Amino acid sequence: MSAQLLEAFLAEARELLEQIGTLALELEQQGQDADLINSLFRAVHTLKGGSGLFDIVPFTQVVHAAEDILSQVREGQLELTPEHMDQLLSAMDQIGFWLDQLESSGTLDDQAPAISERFTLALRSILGGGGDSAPSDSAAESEEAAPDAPPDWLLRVPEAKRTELAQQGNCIAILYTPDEQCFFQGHDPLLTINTLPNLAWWQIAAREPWPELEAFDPYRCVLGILALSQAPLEDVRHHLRYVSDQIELSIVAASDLDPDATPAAAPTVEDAPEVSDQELPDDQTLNATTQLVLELLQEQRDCLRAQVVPELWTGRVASVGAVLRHLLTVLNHEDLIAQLPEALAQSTANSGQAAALLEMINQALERSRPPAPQPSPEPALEAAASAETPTEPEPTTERRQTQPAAGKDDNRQRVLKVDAERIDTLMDLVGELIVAKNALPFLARRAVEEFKIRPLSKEIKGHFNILNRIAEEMQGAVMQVRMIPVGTAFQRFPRLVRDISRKLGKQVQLELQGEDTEADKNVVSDLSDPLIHLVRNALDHGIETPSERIESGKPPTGRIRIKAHQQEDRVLIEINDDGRGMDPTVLKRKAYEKGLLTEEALERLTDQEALQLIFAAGFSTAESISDLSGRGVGMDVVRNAVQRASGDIILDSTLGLGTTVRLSLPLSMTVTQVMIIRVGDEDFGVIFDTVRETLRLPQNEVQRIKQHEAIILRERLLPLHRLDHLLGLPETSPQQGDLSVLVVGVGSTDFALVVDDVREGVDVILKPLEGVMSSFPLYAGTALLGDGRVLLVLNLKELLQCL
Amino acid sequence: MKRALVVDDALTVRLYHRQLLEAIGFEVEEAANGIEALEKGLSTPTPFDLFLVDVNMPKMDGYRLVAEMRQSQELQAIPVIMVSTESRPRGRDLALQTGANLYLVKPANGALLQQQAQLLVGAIEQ
Repeated sequence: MSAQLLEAFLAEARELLEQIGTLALELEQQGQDADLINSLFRAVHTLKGGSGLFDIVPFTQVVHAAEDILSQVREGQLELTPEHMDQLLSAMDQIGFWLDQLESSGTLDDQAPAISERFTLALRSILGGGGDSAPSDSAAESEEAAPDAPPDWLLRVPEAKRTELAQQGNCIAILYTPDEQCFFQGHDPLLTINTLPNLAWWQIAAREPWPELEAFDPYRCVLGILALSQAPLEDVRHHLRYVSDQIELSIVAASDLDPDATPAAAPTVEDAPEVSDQELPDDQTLNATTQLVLELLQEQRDCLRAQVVPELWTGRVASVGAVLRHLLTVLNHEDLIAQLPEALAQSTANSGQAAALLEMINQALERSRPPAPQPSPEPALEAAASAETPTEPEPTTERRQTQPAAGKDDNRQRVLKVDAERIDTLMDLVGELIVAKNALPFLARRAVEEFKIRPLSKEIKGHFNILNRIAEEMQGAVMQVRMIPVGTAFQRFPRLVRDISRKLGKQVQLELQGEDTEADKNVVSDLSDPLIHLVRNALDHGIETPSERIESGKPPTGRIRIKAHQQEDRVLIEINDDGRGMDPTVLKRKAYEKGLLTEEALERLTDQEALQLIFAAGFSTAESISDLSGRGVGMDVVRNAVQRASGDIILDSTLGLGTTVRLSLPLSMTVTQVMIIRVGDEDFGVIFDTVRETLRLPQNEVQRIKQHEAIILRERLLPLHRLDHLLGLPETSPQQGDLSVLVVGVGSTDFALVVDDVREGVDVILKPLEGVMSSFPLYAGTALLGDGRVLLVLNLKELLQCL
Repeated sequence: MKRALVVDDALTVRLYHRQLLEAIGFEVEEAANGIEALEKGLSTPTPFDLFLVDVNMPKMDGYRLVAEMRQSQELQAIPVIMVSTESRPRGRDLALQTGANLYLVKPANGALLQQQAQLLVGAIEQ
């Protein structure tokens, strides 16, 4: 199997798993809904079908068991309990785990068979009796005479033979795979099978496609033998005792041989009885293609003979006719081809009667039986046919000249599934392009300053503008590709809420809104963990138990609502519960006890501000807070995660009524605009969005209030800070003339920063600080500049905290 | 060039069958269920030479699709290979009853399927 196929399977299987999870939970909520069960069954069935293409038997077994359960549920033979659902879901979790394993290593590990068996047994134990889809292999083996699941190859037995055998009861199916070296070990597979007691039918075929003649090794046995015997199992075993390791035996139930054997009253289409069937020639000297043609001819015969409703007859005859024409052409039976139109017309006219066509098929089969050529009414043609059949060219290799259609766009699929990694690569490249283009303005400046060629500088700038526009459009296009619905981060919640609320004995209804809101894939994946944390907290500490809720006059079932929507270039997400809410007074007291706040600070704190205390590092630990406020664990972790993704988080709560947490995140965060400022001899970056304005200010307009400085800007008093001082840099020489001032805003707070110079704005790719540096919250990250320098970008929010 | 319509709700299986058929020079189109397949079959300017049909599909399953085909003036003579996970004889019997020309158990042997497809549409001649 190609890697591409595995990739496609992994993507499809994950999608199906998600569907299965969602459907299963819906099913549990809405009870036995036929449509839901059907969709669920179908998803599992499709998953099984796909997995069958790969050599992952343990995987397929588990999915198969799940399918059998759902099949019984669908047919009303089984009712799913929450416990069954637990088992089903945990089996699907295992499937998900195996998908990861397949993705990383290409195969399942050694433990897979054992794990598979455990899950399969657990699932099979759910299965009720009655259904024919519940044959447990191990159970069947322990009971001597119980029929097994019929082997796949049973289909190769002609239908007529099966019907005949079915009337005589169960029989033994034998798959004999002789050892490759058997000719040297004194075994004669042919003799062994021919002397089998009560042999009813057998077929011999190559196990693998025959190699080229040069590579063919006649001393190596690569044959497989299929046989049916009506002898008792014991006798068959005894006969095959010397080759028992090369044999697979199974008992085939009469009903599996021919399910329609009993209702003889059904209006079956019978061929004219005088036409006697020609079986496939056993001769192994036949060319492989011819062999295949003969098999297909037999299949057409079975098709013509199968039961039919009158409306389908014409179509059946027409399609069989088309196939026969092709098959007879390959066999070179031109005489038969000539008879075809008449035979078709005859068969079409008499619904259910295809005697003429059947006669033709039998003739074709007869002629390919080389050992005993039948006298033919047309000896000349017959001779030609038998002379050419064996020398038929090997067609598959010769007919590959046709190249795949190029430029047929209308036929191609509209939607393309692309590996996320490839898009990441593309995004990285676009990012590099954006940074690389920033080198051009530097070059333009050097053209003037160093080489004194002003026209060249102008030309470079012109090209920079073009490049800039293309790069921006490209970035926009790639971003568009990376946008995914935030709903993908919500997908785990129904399951999470179900599991946790069951465990806590709470009743919770989850509402999701605005799942279609789109954001960059990275933003969505960064969102995932904080959201889970928040939902978990709401469940753990927000929502009360049913009895508590009834006591406080609420409906026993709590509600958690997750709502997403887009606002300008940000995505806003709201997690709201109708639980017990939080008490700001308790939070304040707690913060004071923990020494996070002084008494004066405590006094000044509004209730709204007090609620935000929950995000303070070191504030919340599980045992101390859950019993007090109903809110909890590690909210500082959540805040940090959100802030790392350049997001904000606010909490709102009313005691007794519930809590709302609001997250705001950028839609995408790959390219950031920063403004370069100079302090002393160093350049720093400031995120463009936070810069309100830049201005030059005469020294004497700086107001002094006690030991603090401030400026008045449009009748507003703004605190003024000197950046060199804040950063602990050596104080620059007292400036002459005007001050360069940057007015920045973080949240609702504006303040002014004195810098030495304000430079240009640039697009950069912000890289978070790594290693030891990552513990400096003062910097939002680093960025590579067009001229190769590394720029430190300030985190103004943190800077504000230091004031 | 021979044209085939691969009908299966599982994307992976469609891809598998597409790759197999394209490798032997078929032009392949896909449909995810019976209804889509009928629509494609009836609206195509160049008729299909072969339908490769899954049994268990949403909206309209493979049996229904083949039955519809066999009653349609335009599609009735197109050879159909049916592929299913059902390995018991009942699956094959039903397929032949609705009018499939060949029944295979999933996963179909790739090399064999290629030859069978070529033979059914007459892509192999003397």
